[in-house]
Amino acid sequence: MEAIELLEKKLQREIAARQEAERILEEKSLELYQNNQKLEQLNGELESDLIHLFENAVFGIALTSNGDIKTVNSKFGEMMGYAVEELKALTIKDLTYKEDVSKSYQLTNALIAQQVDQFELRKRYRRKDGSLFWAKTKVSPVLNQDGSTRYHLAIIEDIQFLVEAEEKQATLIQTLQSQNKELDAFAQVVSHDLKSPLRAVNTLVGWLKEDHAEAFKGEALEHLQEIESRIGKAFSLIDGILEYAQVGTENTETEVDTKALVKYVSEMIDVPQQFQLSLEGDFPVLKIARSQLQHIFQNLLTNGVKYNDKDVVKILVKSWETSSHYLFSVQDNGIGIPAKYFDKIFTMFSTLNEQTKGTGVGLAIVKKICEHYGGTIIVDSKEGQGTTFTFSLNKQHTKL
Amino acid sequence: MDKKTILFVDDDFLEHKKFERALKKSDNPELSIESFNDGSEALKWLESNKHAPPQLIILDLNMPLMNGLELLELVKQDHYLKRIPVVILTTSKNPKDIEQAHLLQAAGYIVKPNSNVQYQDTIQLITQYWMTSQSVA
Amino acid sequence: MKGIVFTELFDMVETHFGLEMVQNIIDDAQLPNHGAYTKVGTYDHKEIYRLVGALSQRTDTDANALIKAFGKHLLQTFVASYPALFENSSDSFSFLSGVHDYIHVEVRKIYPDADLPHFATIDHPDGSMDMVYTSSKKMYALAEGLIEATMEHYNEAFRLDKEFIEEDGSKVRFTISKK
Repeated sequence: MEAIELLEKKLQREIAARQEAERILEEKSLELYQNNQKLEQLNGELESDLIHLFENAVFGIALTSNGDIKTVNSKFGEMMGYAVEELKALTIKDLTYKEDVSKSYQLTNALIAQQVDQFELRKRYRRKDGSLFWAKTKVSPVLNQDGSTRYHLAIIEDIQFLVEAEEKQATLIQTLQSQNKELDAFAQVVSHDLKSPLRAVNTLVGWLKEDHAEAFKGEALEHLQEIESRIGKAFSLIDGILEYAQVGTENTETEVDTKALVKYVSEMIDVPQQFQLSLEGDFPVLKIARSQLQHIFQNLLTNGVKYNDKDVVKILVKSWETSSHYLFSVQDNGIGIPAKYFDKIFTMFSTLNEQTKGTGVGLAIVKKICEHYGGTIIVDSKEGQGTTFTFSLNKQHTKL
Repeated sequence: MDKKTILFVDDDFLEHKKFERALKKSDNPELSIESFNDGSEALKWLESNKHAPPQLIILDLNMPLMNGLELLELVKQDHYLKRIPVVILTTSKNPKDIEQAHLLQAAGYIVKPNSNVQYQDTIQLITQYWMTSQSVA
Repeated sequence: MKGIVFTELFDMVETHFGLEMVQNIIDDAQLPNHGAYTKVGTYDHKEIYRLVGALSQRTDTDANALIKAFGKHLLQTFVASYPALFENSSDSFSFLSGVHDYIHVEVRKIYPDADLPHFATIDHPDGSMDMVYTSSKKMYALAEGLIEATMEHYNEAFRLDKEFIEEDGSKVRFTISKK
């Protein structure tokens, strides 16, 4: 073949290839254009979704750069009492209560220095009208593709109500604590001031009896003795009231072996010659103020012994548990209580016995202690046969 | 041997009288008593009698001007007076008072018995114990 | 198959055998587009077999030897056109082990329809490297040329062994040891 012919053929090939390339390019361009259109549409949809989110968010949203406000949503404008356009001319510092500026500044600097990925703080914002409100602000960076910071995105939640509620609660607790203290002091003073004149009367009656034995005889002596007995009762009452007031103020809870405690109490109280104490069931070890639990058993055992007309006084103490409570019962073979008094005996100042052996405070204290430990106390009784007190203590309050 | 003295501090004059009567009936009727109505008077006396301190101080808590715990604290801070045993005799059963008294090194804390008979027994017990106990010279 | 393979083949043939040989193999191969290939186009890969087959007959040279030589030529044009690809790797092995995971990935971004062979590389404790070629096009000889030219590009003395895992050449293991 001639060289010229070969070159011509090569040229023709190249022209054909070029035309083919142009066709492909055109095809690709069209494809690119269509893809671009699609992207733009998607972008538009995404943007309108974002704007919708931005504008309808329940939180204030602000985009800032070096503390300057770039844009905010209308919610933030509403929170601050400014128009959105007004806010765009301001800085975060302008909107922050001056006392909170430095901590806001420190955290923002840490974010810029990339010491932290984001931060959250409670601070006060200053509205256009000068009023302040507490808000929780969460700030995170919006990054460019190269990793540099484009904006800081701040999400602002008004927590004024929360802060006010917290303050109210704190004040309330403080008030309650000081009231409790006052009450305690009050009870102490009252008991002291009530007892002093009683002691004086008691002493003087004693001296009258001693120094003027000749003058006080027969009915006169009986009257003096009656005064002494009434004074004795008044003393017990004052002590009882004071004790009632103190239930729950003792907070030294220790491990208490309930079985050992019942035995200890039974040795401490006055018991008749013929006395039988039996224990039944698994007695738990509890976390409880020892003196309080001791008070319960002391009261119930003493009642069982005191209100008893049998030759052999028998007391049975049982213990068992449910999923939520520890239970104890104290059963005696005493004189019993009529059913109509079952509720009354747990209220203050009620004694049923005419001879008034008790002050009428003891069972009220027992009930208060049980309730303090999330439990209760009930009574069951048959006149002439005996009484059973059953009380419970919540495990949540007393479990080790 | 010098005559032994008990310092008795209580704001109720009836309590002074009661204590004296109880002491007379006790096994130590020859003990001398110095009685004061409140802590500051008692402290004045103590400071001017350092050469002949009492064997025992019996102290009420609730008193005007200077109460029992305040006096106790001052006594225990004094280089000489701190050796004198102090027994609290009060109507208060307040656990905080009891704890505070022991923290301030009271030798004892006794709640005044309500009954006259028991009061007599208690005073007998206190004086007998502390008059038997050897004090620091 | 990408048009660049055809245009480069013609370049090589023209350089070594002259323009007449190019025209001859185009005529022999009876191509649908009469040899009017453009780099940006995509063509049936069987056309390259026909062209190489024609060249083999006319020059009385083994077809695989021609393909291998073509592979070497192709690599040189790559070096000239895309120097950055080679500068990123400090030696031949690091370049070769990046072919599949890096270079082919980039190629696909530009030519989504490119039908590329699969390369798996395995480093051996003795310092040698296996490169396993897998492709239904069975152009292992092209791979062989490319590998050899790569070693030469990095100025490294080497030994290249090849083992047919599939007898038809659709899967071939190259073992490269540096000397």
